[in-house]
Amino acid sequence: MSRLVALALVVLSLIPLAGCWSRRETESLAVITAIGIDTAFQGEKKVYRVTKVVLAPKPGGGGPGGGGGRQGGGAKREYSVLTTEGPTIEEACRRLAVRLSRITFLDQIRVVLFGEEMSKEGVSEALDFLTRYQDIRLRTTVMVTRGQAETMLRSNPEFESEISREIKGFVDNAAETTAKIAESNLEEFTERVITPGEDAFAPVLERVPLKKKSSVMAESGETFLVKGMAMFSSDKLAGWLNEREVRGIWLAMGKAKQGDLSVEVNGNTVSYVFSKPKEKLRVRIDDEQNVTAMLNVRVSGGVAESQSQAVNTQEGLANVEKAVNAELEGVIRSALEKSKAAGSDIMGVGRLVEREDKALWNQIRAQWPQRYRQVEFEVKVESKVERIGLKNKPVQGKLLK
Amino acid sequence: MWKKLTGKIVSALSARSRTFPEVQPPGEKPIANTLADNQNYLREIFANCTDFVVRPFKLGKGGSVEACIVYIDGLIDKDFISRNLMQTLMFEDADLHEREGEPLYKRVYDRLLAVGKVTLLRDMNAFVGGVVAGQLGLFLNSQSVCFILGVTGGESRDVSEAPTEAVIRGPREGFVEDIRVNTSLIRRRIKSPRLKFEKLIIGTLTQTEVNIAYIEGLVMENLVQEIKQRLQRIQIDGIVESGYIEEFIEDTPKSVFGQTGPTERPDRVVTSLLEGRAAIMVDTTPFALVVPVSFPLLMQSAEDYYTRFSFGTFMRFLRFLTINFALILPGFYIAVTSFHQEMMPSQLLLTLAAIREGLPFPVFVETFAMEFTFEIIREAGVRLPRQVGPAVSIVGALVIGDAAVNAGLVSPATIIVVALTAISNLTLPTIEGANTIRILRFPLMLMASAFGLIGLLVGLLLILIHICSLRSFGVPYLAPIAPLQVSGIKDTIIRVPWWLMRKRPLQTGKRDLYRQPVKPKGRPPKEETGQ
Repeated sequence: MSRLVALALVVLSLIPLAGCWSRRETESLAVITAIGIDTAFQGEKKVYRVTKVVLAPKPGGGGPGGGGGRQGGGAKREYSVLTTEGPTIEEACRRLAVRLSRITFLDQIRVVLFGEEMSKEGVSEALDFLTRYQDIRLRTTVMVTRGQAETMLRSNPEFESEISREIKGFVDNAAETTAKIAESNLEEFTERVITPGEDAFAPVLERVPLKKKSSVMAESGETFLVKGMAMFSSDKLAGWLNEREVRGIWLAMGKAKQGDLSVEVNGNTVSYVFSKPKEKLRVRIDDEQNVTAMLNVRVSGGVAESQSQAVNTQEGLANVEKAVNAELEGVIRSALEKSKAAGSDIMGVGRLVEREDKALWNQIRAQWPQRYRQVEFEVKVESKVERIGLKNKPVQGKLLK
Repeated sequence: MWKKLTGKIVSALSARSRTFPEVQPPGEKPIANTLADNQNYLREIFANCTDFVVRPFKLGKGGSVEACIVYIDGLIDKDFISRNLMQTLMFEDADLHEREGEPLYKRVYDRLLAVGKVTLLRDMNAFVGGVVAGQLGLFLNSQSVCFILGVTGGESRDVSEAPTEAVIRGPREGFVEDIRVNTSLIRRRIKSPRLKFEKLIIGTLTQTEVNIAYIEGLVMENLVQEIKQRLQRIQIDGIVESGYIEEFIEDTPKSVFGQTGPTERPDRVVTSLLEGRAAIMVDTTPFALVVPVSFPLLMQSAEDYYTRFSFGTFMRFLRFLTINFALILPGFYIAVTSFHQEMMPSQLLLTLAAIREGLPFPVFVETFAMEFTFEIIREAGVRLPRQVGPAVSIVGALVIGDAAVNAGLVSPATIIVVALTAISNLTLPTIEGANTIRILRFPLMLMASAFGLIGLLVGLLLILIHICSLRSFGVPYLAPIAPLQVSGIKDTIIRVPWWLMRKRPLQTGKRDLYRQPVKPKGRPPKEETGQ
């Protein structure tokens, strides 16, 4: 019995000994939802400029007579954007602590933005900071900004109350429904940067001027868009793809879930919605100099809109399919050409070469970015129209004949 | 003459048809031969006992034989005695002459005692034991044999609804304090001589009657002997409630988990008996103990078996959820809000942070305070007189809940967590299981507030290890989950329809495994085609 008592005492005394180690109250956190990393110069010295979006929770009715409940509408700004500089990212972050009354809390970061300048100089240092500890989630979206990341984070969100949610929403939504955006999360991005024979990419965040001042955007004449893709060669930004090319490359990578495409058939425009794409990429190594990558993409989908093209005949469908094939092959080719020009092997041809011929890969591995520029691509797209919807003929058909 | 003849025939017939009850042997203190001696002895023993009554009278119509009855006032059926028994004893015209080979007491037994249960004694101590147990004692002058008549009566509570285990569908009867009523409630449900009640007397002073109920040929092997052995080891002077017995016979007495299943419901006892378990019934308490018991059994309500199996299964799932809420929710809340904010969705984190803005206490202080407050309110609710019940509800709900939030002392989130925990705890069907979980919540909260989720998990693991090591009368406490018995799952996590429950639980019902001969298919009979 006395043994039991002694044991209980020891165990009980252990609990205060730990002293609630690493305990932090929710209200003592400065929740950071987005981080932007740029480079800047302090005189001659290159420094990192780290911009953070810090949420400032409004007291939700504490105090007598508060009544509880959430206050304020969604449009109200409930965050601040803070920028600090330092020779390393960590130091820049620590300098932020001086300006904040709360513990910086990185675990809820949704978006990581790399500034254009910094991306061109290389993102390895930033990646080292972001992935060294577990607090930043590996599923965080990584993006590259045209211009400084800071300016992006300082612009006003249009729909959401908080900017990171808006940016993240753009990416998720667009990637899901249009395939115009190539999604990239921190884990995949880092993996592609450090894996030889495979290069990283990220969607691009761009600021565009608004043509008309809408009522929502009364305060500023600019909005931002997620547009195109940034291609990296090793850890450096090497080239850009536009929206159409992104769709092509996204299909070629087999990552697109669904998307739309407008093609010209006999002078009429037909809108084609594809889903369930399948792709196959193989390499053929004829000799050391001649590496050919054969890309085969199969998509199936339906006609979403046909202005005045009849699609109720075999012939009509075949025409649509032909046009889709041509269009997709075109954009894929053009995307691949750009990636070759940038020396950015986003398709991972190098990995395939390695799998195919390990000995050869070991020889050419060091010069792979250069060798990649000489890779021949054979692109073949097979599309299928499976659905034409409830209409046999275009609605305009009656008027025409 | 005629009467004499019939009397002879009757006595001859009765002598042939049954043997005379055995007279119990004299013990240390034999019964004296004279009425006066016996009376004096009893008066001495029962000195200063105002409820002790001695009533001398003359036996038979002629009044030739002196006799007296003794009893404890309030324990016997007075009405029956004065109307029937005394009537017969005093006014019946019986032949009470001493004869060769047939002592007086035999004649009295045969002709005058209009009572069903009669014991013949020569031992004064046994006689006294019978009298204090609420039976009627009868002495005859110049006879060294006396009678104990089972005319127990007196006041006892009527059978009423079991308040601790209420059901919506199912029998409403609950046990009462009188063990005979309780056994009758069980016997009424199992109309078989195979249902046995073995009697033991425990408590040197209280002399409490304890019955072991079981079904012969069905009960787990050696279980009854083991129960008897454990019960006989109890040397205490008094047994007031079955809780006394429970603590004496457990396999692991120091555990927080109860290893017997106290229940107030006869139908629950019957279900357990039919599974090969036994029940220990104690006089003067409405709680019977079912042994052996397993933890899943403590989390089952009698009603699970009465509603449709689909709903019964749903209830089991729901209860599985509420056990977890009741046990870990506050700990989990503390751990997540003060250690693992990254686990929360961003929006939830923001909402929580906004709610907690400006609150004076850390989460764990808040949670502990509110949990204790709830326990206090609950305890008050049990103890308080019925008339002030609404007052406590108002204090609990308005003053403590609402005012604490409005005053900015406690966050609404904490109130929600505490309330959900409390309500979850109340869904657990047995007090034994519910109380254990209620207590274990606090160490888990402590662990969680010191070490976060790791602490919580370590705490849960310790509980798991402990609960796995427990046994109730040799049966693993987590059976049939651990050690896993697949056929037992049908009545643990889910509740299959009765026509699928062919086997009794393997751990307890091995002796007679099958409840029903074949699996009825439940198909309609084949229709004649009429060709």
